[in-house]
Amino acid sequence: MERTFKRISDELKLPRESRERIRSRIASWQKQTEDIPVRRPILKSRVPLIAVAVVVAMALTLTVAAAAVHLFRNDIIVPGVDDIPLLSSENGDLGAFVVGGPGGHPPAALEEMTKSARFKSDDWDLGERINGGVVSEYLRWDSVEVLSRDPALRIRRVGREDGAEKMEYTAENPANLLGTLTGRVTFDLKGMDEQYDHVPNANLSFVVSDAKGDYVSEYYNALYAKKDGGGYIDFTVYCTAQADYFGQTYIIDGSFETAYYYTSADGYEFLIETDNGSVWAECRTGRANVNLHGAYVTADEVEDILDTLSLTING
Amino acid sequence: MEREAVLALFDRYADTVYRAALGYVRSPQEAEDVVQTVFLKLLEGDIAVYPGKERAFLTKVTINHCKNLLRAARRHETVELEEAVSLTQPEDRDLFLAIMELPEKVRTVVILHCIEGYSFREISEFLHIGVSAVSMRLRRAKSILKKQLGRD
Repeated sequence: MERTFKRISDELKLPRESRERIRSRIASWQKQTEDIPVRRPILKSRVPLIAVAVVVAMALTLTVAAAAVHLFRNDIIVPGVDDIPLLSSENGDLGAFVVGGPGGHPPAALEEMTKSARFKSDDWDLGERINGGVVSEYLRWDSVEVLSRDPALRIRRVGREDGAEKMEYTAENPANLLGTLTGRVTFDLKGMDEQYDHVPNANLSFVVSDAKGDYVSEYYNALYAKKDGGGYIDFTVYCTAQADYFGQTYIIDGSFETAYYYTSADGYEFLIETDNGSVWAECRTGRANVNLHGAYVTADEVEDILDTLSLTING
Repeated sequence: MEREAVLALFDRYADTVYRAALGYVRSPQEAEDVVQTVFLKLLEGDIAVYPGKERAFLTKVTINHCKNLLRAARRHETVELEEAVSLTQPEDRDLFLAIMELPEKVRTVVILHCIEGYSFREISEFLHIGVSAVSMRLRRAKSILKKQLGRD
């Protein structure tokens, strides 16, 4: 392939006639403005973006993937308050919810994030605080049983008197948690590993089932630090059995430094927002939410991660 | 910049600018427009190029201009590519057309590194991304090309 690249470089040239034409234009250029066939660029367009309701998710790589239809529920970017639908209690609509801007605060430093995310054995083992992940379906848990303290994969069963159960996991390496998920959302972290180091023990996953043993929800979270220091990525996936769990909200264009939609290589639409050192990327469907918060990284770097996730959201 | 100086740069680097532009806009006609625009900008503007950095400077100007064009108009006509590209060897043609089909972000890295010979560091400065991101995009591109063309 390298020899071919060299031949392409040697042979691919501006066509001779075009070269002579353009050279002649340069040679005869006068100081007055000429009529140049240039498209005027529209920089940072403020044209309002209304979310497309239905997108067919097709892999843009050459691997064969099952096509799925997803209704994305990402925030809708609107030009102003007047473009937000009014609340309506008559027809039962919940009405519109507006997400405010980020407030201009810079993101927390990596050390602070690590301290809050890192596994703490006291909390895990003693169960005096059965935390480790708020589950909106159940606000209170009653018991905890540690099943494994192996740093490669720690496991505990958190229970309720009514029989609902949350299996929780944490590990030195977040890749070890992938097998604990149910497959409703799948992703690959190899691309992340190429540019970022996982922060050991700063991760968590859990799967919740109800009293009958039926699936309720699952969660995955991991913290990654940039290999060259400073920046980090906090990666979260949440999935629920409840249909239409994630509704759509609105953000007003301009409340973030930038806000735009980005379709990843796997065909999933993310809403990307940047502000004061933070980059947020979120893909929301009715039942799943894939979310990256990047700090001290660029939107381009976050897009690169999104493109390497090999993401699938099933159902 | 003086006309003679711009003509000298044009004679030397027009092909570089053309190839970089083609990698972005994927249309020979639009790439030619970009070449004209870039060099006319040098004439119109009060620009001084650091000696020895002319090629990198022109590449950067080209990339920025192409990005603005792409923001303004997201349609790319690739049909004319097949008709207009004249590469002697069929395998060169196949590879080039496959490169043009790559996603934009990885395609530009292939053009800048494999065809124009820029280093990862230089490309990271052109594209405002990290060196490791350049490396990753190039690896992805080569992986896609290998699968598509079935060879190393």
